[in-house]
Amino acid sequence: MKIIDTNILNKFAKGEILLDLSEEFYLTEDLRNEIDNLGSISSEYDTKIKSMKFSNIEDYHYFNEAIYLENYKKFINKHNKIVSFYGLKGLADISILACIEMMVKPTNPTLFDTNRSIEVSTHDSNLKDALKEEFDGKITINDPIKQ
Amino acid sequence: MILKSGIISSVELDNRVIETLLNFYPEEKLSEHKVFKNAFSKGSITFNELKDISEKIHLPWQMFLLNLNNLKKELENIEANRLDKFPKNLLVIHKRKGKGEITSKRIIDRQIRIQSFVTSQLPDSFVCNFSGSLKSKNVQDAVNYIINYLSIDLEHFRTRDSAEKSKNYLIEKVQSQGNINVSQGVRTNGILPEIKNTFELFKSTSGFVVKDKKIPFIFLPSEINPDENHFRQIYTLLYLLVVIGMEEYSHAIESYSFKKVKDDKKFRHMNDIVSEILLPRSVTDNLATEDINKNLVNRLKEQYKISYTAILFVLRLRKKIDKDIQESLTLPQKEPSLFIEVKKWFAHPHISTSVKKFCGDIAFNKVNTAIKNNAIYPNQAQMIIFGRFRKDKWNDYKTKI
Repeated sequence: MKIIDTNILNKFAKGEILLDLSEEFYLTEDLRNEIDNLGSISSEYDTKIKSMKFSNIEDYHYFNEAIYLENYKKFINKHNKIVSFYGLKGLADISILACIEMMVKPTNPTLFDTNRSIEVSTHDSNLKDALKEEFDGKITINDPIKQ
Repeated sequence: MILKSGIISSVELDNRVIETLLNFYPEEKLSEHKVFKNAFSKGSITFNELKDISEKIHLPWQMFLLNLNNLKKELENIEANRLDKFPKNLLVIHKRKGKGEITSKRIIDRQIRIQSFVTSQLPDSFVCNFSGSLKSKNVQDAVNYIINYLSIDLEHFRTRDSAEKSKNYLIEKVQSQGNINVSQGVRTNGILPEIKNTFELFKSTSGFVVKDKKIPFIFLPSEINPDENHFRQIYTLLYLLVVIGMEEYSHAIESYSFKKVKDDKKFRHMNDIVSEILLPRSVTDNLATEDINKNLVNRLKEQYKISYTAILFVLRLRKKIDKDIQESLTLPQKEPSLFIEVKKWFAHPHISTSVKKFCGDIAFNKVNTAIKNNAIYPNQAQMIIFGRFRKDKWNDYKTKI
Protein backbone atom coordinates (compact mmCIF):
# COMPACT_ATOMS: atom_id res chain seq x y z
CA MET A 1 0.00 0.00 0.00
CA LYS A 2 1.36 3.39 -1.00
CA ILE A 3 0.47 6.64 0.67
CA ILE A 4 1.59 9.85 -1.00
CA ASP A 5 2.09 13.20 0.72
CA THR A 6 0.97 16.46 -0.84
CA ASN A 7 4.48 17.82 -1.30
CA ILE A 8 5.38 14.90 -3.58
CA LEU A 9 2.19 15.19 -5.57
CA ASN A 10 2.74 18.90 -6.02
CA LYS A 11 6.27 18.36 -7.37
CA PHE A 12 5.00 15.67 -9.70
CA ALA A 13 2.18 17.86 -11.01
CA LYS A 14 4.65 20.67 -11.63
CA GLY A 15 6.77 18.25 -13.67
CA GLU A 16 9.70 18.39 -11.26
CA ILE A 17 9.77 14.68 -10.43
CA LEU A 18 8.57 11.45 -12.02
CA LEU A 19 6.26 8.89 -10.42
CA ASP A 20 5.25 5.43 -11.51
CA LEU A 21 1.74 6.01 -12.84
CA SER A 22 0.85 2.35 -12.66
CA GLU A 23 0.90 2.63 -8.85
CA GLU A 24 -2.26 3.18 -6.86
CA PHE A 25 -1.98 5.75 -4.08
CA TYR A 26 -4.14 5.85 -0.96
CA LEU A 27 -5.38 9.14 0.42
CA THR A 28 -6.86 10.12 3.77
CA GLU A 29 -9.57 12.77 3.98
CA ASP A 30 -7.09 15.35 5.27
CA LEU A 31 -4.77 14.56 2.36
CA ARG A 32 -7.65 14.95 -0.06
CA ASN A 33 -8.42 18.33 1.47
CA GLU A 34 -4.88 19.37 0.62
CA ILE A 35 -4.81 17.69 -2.75
CA ASP A 36 -8.34 18.17 -4.09
CA ASN A 37 -7.94 20.31 -7.15
CA LEU A 38 -4.48 21.21 -5.95
CA GLY A 39 -3.83 24.59 -7.48
CA SER A 40 -5.78 23.40 -10.47
CA ILE A 41 -5.19 26.57 -12.39
CA SER A 42 -3.26 25.19 -15.32
CA SER A 43 -4.76 22.43 -17.39
CA GLU A 44 -1.35 20.76 -17.63
CA TYR A 45 -1.26 20.57 -13.85
CA ASP A 46 -4.76 19.12 -13.72
CA THR A 47 -3.98 16.58 -16.40
CA LYS A 48 -1.00 15.31 -14.45
CA ILE A 49 -3.03 14.92 -11.27
CA LYS A 50 -5.81 13.15 -13.15
CA SER A 51 -3.29 10.73 -14.67
CA MET A 52 -2.74 9.22 -11.22
CA LYS A 53 -4.72 6.45 -9.58
CA PHE A 54 -6.09 7.38 -6.17
CA SER A 55 -8.17 5.48 -3.65
CA ASN A 56 -9.73 6.69 -0.45
CA ILE A 57 -8.34 4.91 2.57
CA GLU A 58 -11.80 5.10 4.17
CA ASP A 59 -13.18 2.88 1.40
CA TYR A 60 -10.72 0.12 2.16
CA HIS A 61 -12.28 -2.93 3.83
CA TYR A 62 -10.14 -2.83 6.95
CA PHE A 63 -10.68 0.87 7.62
CA ASN A 64 -12.22 1.34 11.04
CA GLU A 65 -13.23 4.93 11.67
CA ALA A 66 -13.56 4.44 15.43
CA ILE A 67 -9.97 3.22 15.69
CA TYR A 68 -8.77 5.83 13.22
CA LEU A 69 -10.22 8.63 15.39
CA GLU A 70 -8.70 7.13 18.51
CA ASN A 71 -5.31 7.10 16.77
CA TYR A 72 -5.89 10.58 15.43
CA LYS A 73 -6.45 11.90 18.94
CA LYS A 74 -3.32 10.14 20.18
CA PHE A 75 -1.07 11.55 17.45
CA ILE A 76 -2.47 15.06 17.25
CA ASN A 77 -1.54 15.45 20.91
CA LYS A 78 1.76 13.58 20.78
CA HIS A 79 3.05 15.23 17.60
CA ASN A 80 1.43 18.59 18.19
CA LYS A 81 4.56 20.39 17.01
CA ILE A 82 3.95 19.35 13.41
CA VAL A 83 0.44 20.79 13.46
CA SER A 84 -0.49 24.42 13.05
CA PHE A 85 -4.16 25.22 13.39
CA TYR A 86 -3.37 28.81 12.55
CA GLY A 87 -2.19 27.95 9.06
CA LEU A 88 -4.01 24.63 9.02
CA LYS A 89 -0.80 22.73 8.41
CA GLY A 90 0.19 19.23 9.41
CA LEU A 91 -3.29 17.71 9.72
CA ALA A 92 -2.64 15.45 6.74
CA ASP A 93 0.51 14.24 8.51
CA ILE A 94 -1.55 13.29 11.56
CA SER A 95 -4.05 11.46 9.38
CA ILE A 96 -1.21 9.46 7.78
CA LEU A 97 0.13 8.49 11.21
CA ALA A 98 -3.37 7.53 12.40
CA CYS A 99 -3.98 5.34 9.36
CA ILE A 100 -0.65 3.57 9.53
CA GLU A 101 -1.14 2.88 13.23
CA MET A 102 -4.43 1.22 12.31
CA MET A 103 -2.68 -0.89 9.67
CA VAL A 104 0.36 -1.99 11.62
CA LYS A 105 -1.49 -2.57 14.87
CA PRO A 106 -4.86 -3.82 13.74
CA THR A 107 -7.29 -4.51 16.55
CA ASN A 108 -8.68 -7.44 14.65
CA PRO A 109 -5.78 -9.02 12.74
CA THR A 110 -8.08 -11.19 10.66
CA LEU A 111 -9.32 -8.09 8.86
CA PHE A 112 -5.94 -6.96 7.72
CA ASP A 113 -2.98 -8.59 6.08
CA THR A 114 -0.23 -7.37 8.40
CA ASN A 115 2.36 -8.68 5.97
CA ARG A 116 1.33 -6.18 3.38
CA SER A 117 4.06 -3.54 2.96
CA ILE A 118 3.32 0.10 3.58
CA GLU A 119 5.24 2.83 1.81
CA VAL A 120 4.88 6.54 2.48
CA SER A 121 6.24 9.01 -0.07
CA THR A 122 7.03 12.34 1.51
CA HIS A 123 9.60 15.12 1.49
CA ASP A 124 8.42 16.54 4.81
CA SER A 125 11.18 16.06 7.38
CA ASN A 126 8.79 16.48 10.32
CA LEU A 127 6.57 13.72 9.00
CA LYS A 128 9.58 11.51 8.24
CA ASP A 129 10.81 11.95 11.81
CA ALA A 130 7.40 11.14 13.26
CA LEU A 131 7.05 8.07 11.01
CA LYS A 132 10.49 6.81 12.07
CA GLU A 133 9.68 7.39 15.73
CA GLU A 134 6.39 5.52 15.53
CA PHE A 135 6.90 2.83 12.90
CA ASP A 136 10.65 2.37 12.39
CA GLY A 137 11.29 -0.92 10.58
CA LYS A 138 7.61 -1.53 9.93
CA ILE A 139 7.13 0.74 6.95
CA THR A 140 9.18 2.18 4.09
CA ILE A 141 9.69 5.91 3.91
CA ASN A 142 10.40 7.10 0.40
CA ASP A 143 11.54 10.58 -0.64
CA PRO A 144 11.45 10.85 -4.46
CA ILE A 145 12.66 14.45 -4.30
CA LYS A 146 15.92 13.44 -2.62
CA GLN A 147 16.56 10.61 -5.04
CA MET B 1 -18.03 13.15 26.09
CA ILE B 2 -17.62 10.16 23.78
CA LEU B 3 -16.85 10.65 20.11
CA LYS B 4 -18.70 8.02 18.11
CA SER B 5 -18.24 6.59 14.67
CA GLY B 6 -21.89 5.97 13.85
CA ILE B 7 -23.07 4.01 16.86
CA ILE B 8 -19.62 2.74 17.82
CA SER B 9 -17.77 4.52 20.62
CA SER B 10 -14.37 5.71 19.46
CA VAL B 11 -12.59 7.94 21.90
CA GLU B 12 -13.35 10.19 24.83
CA LEU B 13 -13.20 13.92 24.27
CA ASP B 14 -12.32 16.11 27.22
CA ASN B 15 -15.41 18.15 28.14
CA ARG B 16 -13.14 20.93 29.39
CA VAL B 17 -11.62 21.13 25.90
CA ILE B 18 -15.03 21.37 24.28
CA GLU B 19 -16.18 24.02 26.73
CA THR B 20 -12.97 26.03 26.36
CA LEU B 21 -13.23 25.94 22.57
CA LEU B 22 -16.88 26.88 22.55
CA ASN B 23 -16.19 29.81 24.84
CA PHE B 24 -13.22 31.12 22.89
CA TYR B 25 -15.57 33.53 21.13
CA PRO B 26 -17.90 34.04 24.09
CA GLU B 27 -20.13 36.54 22.32
CA GLU B 28 -21.10 33.81 19.83
CA LYS B 29 -22.54 31.60 22.59
CA LEU B 30 -21.54 28.48 20.67
CA SER B 31 -22.21 26.19 23.62
CA GLU B 32 -25.90 27.06 23.30
CA HIS B 33 -26.03 25.47 19.87
CA LYS B 34 -28.50 22.58 19.93
CA VAL B 35 -25.94 20.08 18.59
CA PHE B 36 -23.67 20.72 21.57
CA LYS B 37 -26.57 20.90 24.02
CA ASN B 38 -27.73 17.48 22.83
CA ALA B 39 -24.20 16.12 22.89
CA PHE B 40 -23.65 17.25 26.47
CA SER B 41 -26.95 15.82 27.61
CA LYS B 42 -26.34 12.50 25.81
CA GLY B 43 -22.66 12.40 26.71
CA SER B 44 -21.72 11.70 23.10
CA ILE B 45 -21.42 13.18 19.63
CA THR B 46 -20.95 11.39 16.32
CA PHE B 47 -18.02 12.17 14.06
CA ASN B 48 -20.37 13.33 11.32
CA GLU B 49 -22.19 15.66 13.71
CA LEU B 50 -18.86 17.06 14.90
CA LYS B 51 -17.64 17.66 11.35
CA ASP B 52 -20.90 19.32 10.28
CA ILE B 53 -21.14 21.65 13.24
CA SER B 54 -17.43 22.48 13.09
CA GLU B 55 -17.88 23.65 9.53
CA LYS B 56 -20.80 25.85 10.51
CA ILE B 57 -19.00 27.49 13.42
CA HIS B 58 -15.69 27.77 11.56
CA LEU B 59 -13.60 25.73 13.99
CA PRO B 60 -11.60 22.73 12.71
CA TRP B 61 -13.07 19.49 14.13
CA GLN B 62 -9.53 18.33 14.90
CA MET B 63 -9.24 20.96 17.65
CA PHE B 64 -11.87 19.10 19.67
CA LEU B 65 -9.48 16.14 19.84
CA LEU B 66 -6.72 18.08 21.54
CA ASN B 67 -5.97 17.59 25.19
CA LEU B 68 -6.44 20.59 27.44
CA ASN B 69 -2.76 21.57 27.57
CA ASN B 70 -2.32 21.46 23.81
CA LEU B 71 -5.54 23.37 23.26
CA LYS B 72 -4.42 26.04 25.70
CA LYS B 73 -1.13 26.37 23.80
CA GLU B 74 -3.04 26.82 20.52
CA LEU B 75 -5.35 29.41 22.01
CA GLU B 76 -2.43 31.20 23.66
CA ASN B 77 -0.79 31.47 20.23
CA ILE B 78 -3.91 33.08 18.82
CA GLU B 79 -4.12 35.40 21.82
CA ALA B 80 -0.43 36.30 21.38
CA ASN B 81 -1.10 37.18 17.74
CA ARG B 82 -3.94 39.43 18.84
CA LEU B 83 -1.78 41.16 21.40
CA ASP B 84 0.94 41.63 18.81
CA LYS B 85 -1.53 43.47 16.60
CA PHE B 86 -3.78 45.19 19.11
CA PRO B 87 -2.94 46.93 22.36
CA LYS B 88 -4.46 45.03 25.27
CA ASN B 89 -6.76 47.90 26.19
CA LEU B 90 -8.29 47.85 22.74
CA LEU B 91 -9.13 44.17 22.88
CA VAL B 92 -10.87 44.70 26.17
CA ILE B 93 -12.72 47.90 25.47
CA HIS B 94 -13.95 47.17 21.99
CA LYS B 95 -17.38 48.17 23.12
CA ARG B 96 -19.66 50.77 21.76
CA LYS B 97 -21.60 52.69 24.32
CA GLY B 98 -25.22 51.72 24.59
CA LYS B 99 -24.90 48.64 22.41
CA GLY B 100 -23.43 46.34 24.99
CA GLU B 101 -21.75 44.11 22.48
CA ILE B 102 -18.17 43.80 21.44
CA THR B 103 -16.23 43.92 18.25
CA SER B 104 -15.91 40.35 17.17
CA LYS B 105 -12.61 38.72 18.01
CA ARG B 106 -13.57 36.20 15.36
CA ILE B 107 -13.30 38.94 12.74
CA ILE B 108 -10.11 40.23 14.34
CA ASP B 109 -8.56 36.73 14.20
CA ARG B 110 -9.63 36.26 10.60
CA GLN B 111 -8.09 39.57 9.60
CA ILE B 112 -4.86 38.76 11.46
CA ARG B 113 -4.65 35.42 9.65
CA ILE B 114 -5.14 37.09 6.27
CA GLN B 115 -2.57 39.73 7.13
CA SER B 116 -0.03 37.13 8.31
CA PHE B 117 -0.26 35.43 4.94
CA VAL B 118 0.11 38.70 3.01
CA THR B 119 3.16 39.79 4.98
CA SER B 120 4.74 36.34 4.62
CA GLN B 121 4.69 36.93 0.86
CA LEU B 122 6.68 40.16 1.12
CA PRO B 123 10.42 40.65 1.71
CA ASP B 124 11.53 41.58 5.23
CA SER B 125 12.72 44.93 3.94
CA PHE B 126 9.22 45.90 2.78
CA VAL B 127 7.71 48.70 4.86
CA CYS B 128 4.60 50.81 4.70
CA ASN B 129 6.01 54.32 4.42
CA PHE B 130 2.72 55.92 5.39
CA SER B 131 2.91 54.48 8.93
CA GLY B 132 3.98 57.21 11.32
CA SER B 133 4.30 59.78 8.54
CA LEU B 134 1.75 62.17 10.11
CA LYS B 135 3.54 62.40 13.44
CA SER B 136 4.48 65.99 14.31
CA LYS B 137 2.59 67.37 11.31
CA ASN B 138 0.04 70.10 11.94
CA VAL B 139 -3.50 69.65 10.65
CA GLN B 140 -3.02 71.39 7.30
CA ASP B 141 0.33 69.70 6.61
CA ALA B 142 -1.19 66.34 7.46
CA VAL B 143 -4.15 66.97 5.15
CA ASN B 144 -1.86 67.99 2.27
CA TYR B 145 0.39 65.01 2.89
CA ILE B 146 -2.50 62.52 2.83
CA ILE B 147 -3.98 64.00 -0.34
CA ASN B 148 -0.62 63.99 -2.13
CA TYR B 149 0.51 60.61 -0.83
CA LEU B 150 -2.67 58.89 -1.90
CA SER B 151 -3.06 61.01 -5.08
CA ILE B 152 -6.61 61.87 -4.06
CA ASP B 153 -8.49 64.08 -6.47
CA LEU B 154 -10.91 65.72 -4.03
CA GLU B 155 -13.07 67.11 -6.82
CA HIS B 156 -13.43 63.63 -8.26
CA PHE B 157 -14.18 62.20 -4.79
CA ARG B 158 -16.88 64.80 -4.10
CA THR B 159 -18.59 64.60 -7.47
CA ARG B 160 -19.28 60.87 -7.50
CA ASP B 161 -23.03 60.42 -7.75
CA SER B 162 -23.28 58.46 -4.51
CA ALA B 163 -21.48 58.25 -1.20
CA GLU B 164 -20.82 54.58 -1.93
CA LYS B 165 -18.89 55.46 -5.10
CA SER B 166 -16.94 58.14 -3.24
CA LYS B 167 -16.10 55.60 -0.56
CA ASN B 168 -14.97 53.07 -3.14
CA TYR B 169 -12.79 55.71 -4.80
CA LEU B 170 -11.08 56.40 -1.47
CA ILE B 171 -10.68 52.70 -0.71
CA GLU B 172 -9.02 52.19 -4.09
CA LYS B 173 -6.59 55.05 -3.42
CA VAL B 174 -5.72 53.89 0.09
CA GLN B 175 -4.91 50.43 -1.22
CA SER B 176 -3.17 51.24 -4.51
CA GLN B 177 -1.24 54.34 -3.42
CA GLY B 178 -0.95 53.82 0.31
CA ASN B 179 -0.20 50.09 0.34
CA ILE B 180 -2.74 49.78 3.12
CA ASN B 181 -5.22 46.94 2.80
CA VAL B 182 -8.89 47.79 3.27
CA SER B 183 -11.12 44.88 4.19
CA GLN B 184 -14.83 45.09 4.84
CA GLY B 185 -17.53 43.16 6.63
CA VAL B 186 -19.71 41.03 4.38
CA ARG B 187 -22.87 39.09 5.05
CA THR B 188 -22.93 37.00 1.93
CA ASN B 189 -21.69 33.55 0.95
CA GLY B 190 -21.17 32.35 4.53
CA ILE B 191 -17.93 34.27 4.95
CA LEU B 192 -18.83 34.63 8.63
CA PRO B 193 -19.97 31.68 10.77
CA GLU B 194 -23.49 30.41 10.38
CA ILE B 195 -24.63 30.76 13.94
CA LYS B 196 -27.87 31.90 15.49
CA ASN B 197 -28.29 35.65 15.22
CA THR B 198 -25.03 35.99 13.28
CA PHE B 199 -25.77 39.47 12.08
CA GLU B 200 -27.36 40.66 15.28
CA LEU B 201 -24.07 39.65 16.86
CA PHE B 202 -21.74 41.35 14.40
CA LYS B 203 -23.79 44.48 13.82
CA SER B 204 -22.02 46.46 16.54
CA THR B 205 -18.61 45.80 15.06
CA SER B 206 -16.56 48.95 14.73
CA GLY B 207 -13.87 49.81 12.25
CA PHE B 208 -10.37 48.95 13.39
CA VAL B 209 -6.75 48.81 12.31
CA VAL B 210 -4.60 45.68 12.32
CA LYS B 211 -1.15 47.19 12.64
CA ASP B 212 1.78 45.90 10.65
CA LYS B 213 5.04 47.40 9.50
CA LYS B 214 4.60 46.00 5.99
CA ILE B 215 0.86 46.12 5.23
CA PRO B 216 -1.45 47.63 7.84
CA PHE B 217 -5.08 46.59 7.51
CA ILE B 218 -8.07 48.85 7.87
CA PHE B 219 -11.33 47.02 8.56
CA LEU B 220 -14.63 48.72 7.81
CA PRO B 221 -17.79 47.06 9.18
CA SER B 222 -19.68 47.87 5.98
CA GLU B 223 -22.45 45.32 5.39
CA ILE B 224 -22.42 43.84 8.88
CA ASN B 225 -23.17 47.10 10.67
CA PRO B 226 -26.39 48.64 9.33
CA ASP B 227 -25.62 51.71 11.41
CA GLU B 228 -22.58 52.45 9.23
CA ASN B 229 -23.92 54.14 6.14
CA HIS B 230 -21.48 55.06 3.38
CA PHE B 231 -21.01 58.60 4.67
CA ARG B 232 -19.97 57.27 8.06
CA GLN B 233 -17.70 54.68 6.49
CA ILE B 234 -15.88 57.41 4.58
CA TYR B 235 -15.25 59.17 7.87
CA THR B 236 -14.18 55.93 9.57
CA LEU B 237 -11.82 55.07 6.72
CA LEU B 238 -10.07 58.42 6.90
CA TYR B 239 -9.97 58.33 10.68
CA LEU B 240 -8.31 54.90 10.68
CA LEU B 241 -5.89 56.14 8.03
CA VAL B 242 -4.90 58.92 10.44
CA VAL B 243 -4.51 56.32 13.21
CA ILE B 244 -1.91 54.58 11.00
CA GLY B 245 -0.27 57.86 9.99
CA MET B 246 0.04 58.85 13.66
CA GLU B 247 0.79 55.29 14.79
CA GLU B 248 -1.77 55.82 17.53
CA TYR B 249 -2.82 52.20 17.64
CA SER B 250 -3.97 52.24 21.24
CA HIS B 251 -6.45 54.94 20.39
CA ALA B 252 -10.02 53.72 20.74
CA ILE B 253 -13.23 55.65 20.38
CA GLU B 254 -15.48 54.51 23.17
CA SER B 255 -17.80 57.43 22.86
CA TYR B 256 -17.88 60.17 20.30
CA SER B 257 -19.00 62.97 22.58
CA PHE B 258 -18.42 66.62 21.82
CA LYS B 259 -16.70 67.10 25.17
CA LYS B 260 -14.35 64.18 24.53
CA VAL B 261 -13.29 65.49 21.12
CA LYS B 262 -12.98 69.04 22.37
CA ASP B 263 -10.95 68.21 25.47
CA ASP B 264 -8.78 65.32 24.30
CA LYS B 265 -5.89 66.98 22.46
CA LYS B 266 -4.89 63.94 20.44
CA PHE B 267 -8.46 62.97 19.62
CA ARG B 268 -9.16 66.56 18.56
CA HIS B 269 -6.08 66.67 16.34
CA MET B 270 -6.95 63.41 14.58
CA ASN B 271 -10.56 64.46 14.22
CA ASP B 272 -9.52 67.86 12.82
CA ILE B 273 -7.41 66.21 10.10
CA VAL B 274 -10.35 64.11 8.91
CA SER B 275 -12.77 67.03 9.15
CA GLU B 276 -10.43 69.26 7.18
CA ILE B 277 -10.19 66.73 4.35
CA LEU B 278 -13.93 66.24 4.16
CA LEU B 279 -15.24 69.69 5.02
CA PRO B 280 -12.46 72.29 4.75
CA ARG B 281 -12.53 75.32 6.99
CA SER B 282 -12.59 77.47 3.88
CA VAL B 283 -16.12 76.16 3.30
CA THR B 284 -17.43 76.74 6.81
CA ASP B 285 -15.56 79.96 7.66
CA ASN B 286 -17.90 82.06 5.58
CA LEU B 287 -21.08 80.52 6.90
CA ALA B 288 -23.24 82.76 9.03
CA THR B 289 -24.85 81.01 11.98
CA GLU B 290 -28.31 82.19 10.98
CA ASP B 291 -27.92 80.55 7.55
CA ILE B 292 -27.26 77.12 9.02
CA ASN B 293 -30.38 75.00 8.73
CA LYS B 294 -31.32 71.45 7.81
CA ASN B 295 -31.36 72.20 4.08
CA LEU B 296 -27.87 73.62 4.18
CA VAL B 297 -26.54 70.69 6.18
CA ASN B 298 -28.13 68.26 3.75
CA ARG B 299 -26.61 70.16 0.82
CA LEU B 300 -23.15 70.05 2.43
CA LYS B 301 -23.62 66.36 3.10
CA GLU B 302 -24.25 65.56 -0.56
CA GLN B 303 -21.62 67.99 -1.82
CA TYR B 304 -18.79 66.94 0.47
CA LYS B 305 -19.73 63.35 1.24
CA ILE B 306 -19.70 63.79 5.00
CA SER B 307 -22.50 62.59 7.23
CA TYR B 308 -25.20 64.95 8.49
CA THR B 309 -24.28 64.29 12.13
CA ALA B 310 -20.58 64.83 11.45
CA ILE B 311 -21.30 68.19 9.81
CA LEU B 312 -23.14 69.41 12.91
CA PHE B 313 -20.29 68.14 15.04
CA VAL B 314 -17.68 69.97 12.93
CA LEU B 315 -19.72 73.16 12.84
CA ARG B 316 -19.95 73.13 16.62
CA LEU B 317 -16.23 72.47 17.03
CA ARG B 318 -15.59 75.40 14.71
CA LYS B 319 -17.93 77.51 16.87
CA LYS B 320 -20.38 78.08 14.04
CA ILE B 321 -23.24 76.66 16.05
CA ASP B 322 -23.80 76.01 19.73
CA LYS B 323 -25.20 72.98 21.52
CA ASP B 324 -28.80 74.20 21.27
CA ILE B 325 -28.63 74.69 17.52
CA GLN B 326 -26.85 71.36 17.10
CA GLU B 327 -29.63 69.64 19.00
CA SER B 328 -32.39 71.47 17.15
CA LEU B 329 -30.90 70.41 13.81
CA THR B 330 -30.19 66.85 14.86
CA LEU B 331 -32.43 64.39 13.06
CA PRO B 332 -34.28 61.79 15.11
CA GLN B 333 -32.24 58.58 15.35
CA LYS B 334 -33.74 55.74 13.40
CA GLU B 335 -33.15 52.23 14.59
CA PRO B 336 -31.33 50.57 11.70
CA SER B 337 -33.38 47.79 10.26
CA LEU B 338 -31.63 44.50 9.80
CA PHE B 339 -34.49 43.38 7.60
CA ILE B 340 -33.90 46.12 5.05
CA GLU B 341 -30.21 45.41 5.08
CA VAL B 342 -30.78 41.71 4.57
CA LYS B 343 -32.90 42.46 1.52
CA LYS B 344 -30.27 44.82 0.24
CA TRP B 345 -27.51 42.26 0.51
CA PHE B 346 -29.66 39.45 -0.76
CA ALA B 347 -28.05 39.87 -4.15
CA HIS B 348 -26.02 36.65 -3.90
CA PRO B 349 -22.76 37.95 -5.33
CA HIS B 350 -20.22 35.50 -6.66
CA ILE B 351 -18.06 34.00 -3.91
CA SER B 352 -15.01 35.85 -5.22
CA THR B 353 -16.81 39.19 -4.75
CA SER B 354 -17.52 38.40 -1.10
CA VAL B 355 -13.96 37.18 -0.54
CA LYS B 356 -12.44 40.22 -2.22
CA LYS B 357 -14.45 42.55 -0.02
CA PHE B 358 -13.72 40.68 3.21
CA CYS B 359 -10.01 40.24 2.45
CA GLY B 360 -9.31 43.58 0.77
CA ASP B 361 -7.73 44.04 -2.66
CA ILE B 362 -4.10 43.63 -1.63
CA ALA B 363 -4.75 40.41 0.27
CA PHE B 364 -7.11 39.09 -2.42
CA ASN B 365 -4.43 39.54 -5.09
CA LYS B 366 -1.69 38.00 -2.94
CA VAL B 367 -3.72 34.90 -2.12
CA ASN B 368 -4.80 34.48 -5.74
CA THR B 369 -1.22 34.78 -6.99
CA ALA B 370 -0.18 32.11 -4.49
CA ILE B 371 -3.02 29.83 -5.63
CA LYS B 372 -2.10 30.32 -9.29
CA ASN B 373 1.54 29.52 -8.57
CA ASN B 374 0.66 26.51 -6.40
CA ALA B 375 2.54 28.23 -3.62
CA ILE B 376 -0.25 27.46 -1.16
CA TYR B 377 -2.29 24.32 -0.58
CA PRO B 378 -6.01 24.61 -1.26
CA ASN B 379 -6.96 23.92 2.35
CA GLN B 380 -4.63 26.66 3.55
CA ALA B 381 -5.99 29.07 0.94
CA GLN B 382 -9.53 28.20 1.99
CA MET B 383 -8.69 28.76 5.64
CA ILE B 384 -7.42 32.23 4.77
CA ILE B 385 -10.22 33.33 2.47
CA PHE B 386 -13.22 31.37 3.80
CA GLY B 387 -12.12 30.72 7.40
CA ARG B 388 -12.78 26.98 6.82
CA PHE B 389 -12.91 24.31 4.12
CA ARG B 390 -15.47 25.12 1.46
CA LYS B 391 -15.22 22.44 -1.20
CA ASP B 392 -18.55 23.61 -2.60
CA LYS B 393 -17.35 27.19 -3.08
CA TRP B 394 -13.70 26.48 -3.84
CA ASN B 395 -14.24 25.36 -7.43
CA ASP B 396 -16.51 28.33 -8.05
CA TYR B 397 -13.93 30.64 -6.55
CA LYS B 398 -11.13 29.37 -8.75
CA THR B 399 -13.06 30.05 -11.94
CA LYS B 400 -12.82 33.77 -11.25
CA ILE B 401 -9.16 34.12 -10.37
